[in-house]
Amino acid sequence: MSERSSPTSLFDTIAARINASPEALRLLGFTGAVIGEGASTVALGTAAALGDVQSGPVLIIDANWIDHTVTDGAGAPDAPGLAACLRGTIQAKAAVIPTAHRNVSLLPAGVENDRPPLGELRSVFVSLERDFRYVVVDLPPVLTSTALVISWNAVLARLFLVVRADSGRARLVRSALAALAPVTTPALILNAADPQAGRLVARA
Amino acid sequence: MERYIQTAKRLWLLVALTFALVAVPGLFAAYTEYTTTFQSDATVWVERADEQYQTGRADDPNLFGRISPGAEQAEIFSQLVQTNSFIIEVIGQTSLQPAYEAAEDKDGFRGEVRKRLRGQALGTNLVRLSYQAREPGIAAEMVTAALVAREGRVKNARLAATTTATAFYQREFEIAQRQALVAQTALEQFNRSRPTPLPENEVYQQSQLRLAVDVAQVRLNDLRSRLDRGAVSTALLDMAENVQFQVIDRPQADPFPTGGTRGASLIATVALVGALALAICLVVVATVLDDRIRDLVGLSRFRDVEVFGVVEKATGTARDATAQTLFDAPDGPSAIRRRTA
Repeated sequence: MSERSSPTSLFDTIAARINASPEALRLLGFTGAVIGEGASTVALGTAAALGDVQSGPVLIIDANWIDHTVTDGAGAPDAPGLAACLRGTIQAKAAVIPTAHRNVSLLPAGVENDRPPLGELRSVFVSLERDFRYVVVDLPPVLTSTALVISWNAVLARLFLVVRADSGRARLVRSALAALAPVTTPALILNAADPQAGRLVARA
Repeated sequence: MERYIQTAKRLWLLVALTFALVAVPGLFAAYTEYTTTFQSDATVWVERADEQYQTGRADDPNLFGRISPGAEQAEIFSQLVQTNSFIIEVIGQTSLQPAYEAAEDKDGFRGEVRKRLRGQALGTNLVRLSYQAREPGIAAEMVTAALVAREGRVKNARLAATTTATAFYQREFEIAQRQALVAQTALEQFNRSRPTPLPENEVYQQSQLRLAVDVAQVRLNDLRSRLDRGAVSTALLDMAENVQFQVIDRPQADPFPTGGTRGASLIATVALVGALALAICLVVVATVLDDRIRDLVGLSRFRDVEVFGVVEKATGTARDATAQTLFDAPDGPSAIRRRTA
């Protein structure tokens, strides 16, 4: 059997690099320039892979109120989540739900009609940081919700901009980088790259 | 180069469609050109009788300016074709006449005929006259008619030239006749008015008058001989024409397409080359305008940004598989559903 025995093994390299990083990369955000780059998938996979490469608990937060696929994938669209935590109606710890993975938990988006206030973001994170070794945040696309991503960046240790191979436009990536330039320079992750490309292995 | 190949592979249907859109009509036009071209030609042996046995001198400054009879006749024929009267005369002798009469755009009709009628030098003394028609039979008619029209024009031109020379000599002859008559009359009057024997001073005057009569008579005889020679040379030139312009191969009316291979090949080549060029342009433009990021090389254009990692393409849908791993336990309902329950 090949090394790719499970879907999450696609993200092993990224998880290993995060885990081995000398910097304290504990709070990680994943976003794309636009919808469809695969940021949610990479966030989900990286969280699962982080749960595999070390024994500490990992939390994945679905902060993508625009396209909350992680919450929907977990079958928790109606469950109280991040939105309720930010409003102060529920404790963050109480909103976290376990997943099938022993080390990974989920804080669903908590879909609401109004966008929740982001002022309490830091206090919410302080409590979560104590309980989880890694916190992975699935963010909305930069060019759709620039303000939201910038707000989240204040509490994140590292922001990753996911670019989907064969469909990610350089022009959009450049725009996303320009939008984030005043606050941070995200690291790029090439998603769904062709494994046959020799250059891929050489650079990775 | 690899980028262009990838673009070509990605857009193969569009590239193939573009290629086909240009190449197929072009090839069809080439096929139509081939099947609807009926060429007929006549091969003519030409000579220049007056220079046939003349040897050129090495120091003759006009030596290099001379052209062979074949090239000369081909050029003459090409010039004749440029005239409307010649074309009309040729058409008038063929079965195209009713079509020409009925045509609204007569200039266009003549232009089409002009384009298809060609004179070509095959060698120093060989000329080929050809016509390419759209229907069988017409081409042979046109070439035959062109030969006839050319012959008629040559004869008319020669007649006109001979007539001019004859008229000139005739007028000179009449003047010389009058001068001879005047001289003769003057001599006779002198003889009648003087008794014989003449004194010595009048003998000299009489001899001067007799000399004038003799000179006038000599000129008269000279002009008469020139007039006779002119008539003879016209007859000789007419006879020599048959030797100087011999139709070796008469035009044949072939029932099957002929002569269209070259034109069809040209059309097909242009169509294929054009289609290929268009397809290449399409690929180049699509590649240049395509700013999609395909691999790490594509990401390298963002020089100041760190490339943290690469997620390889999964065989299935990575998101579904990952979500299934996290949220669906292999032996029961999902974590959320378990919790809700």
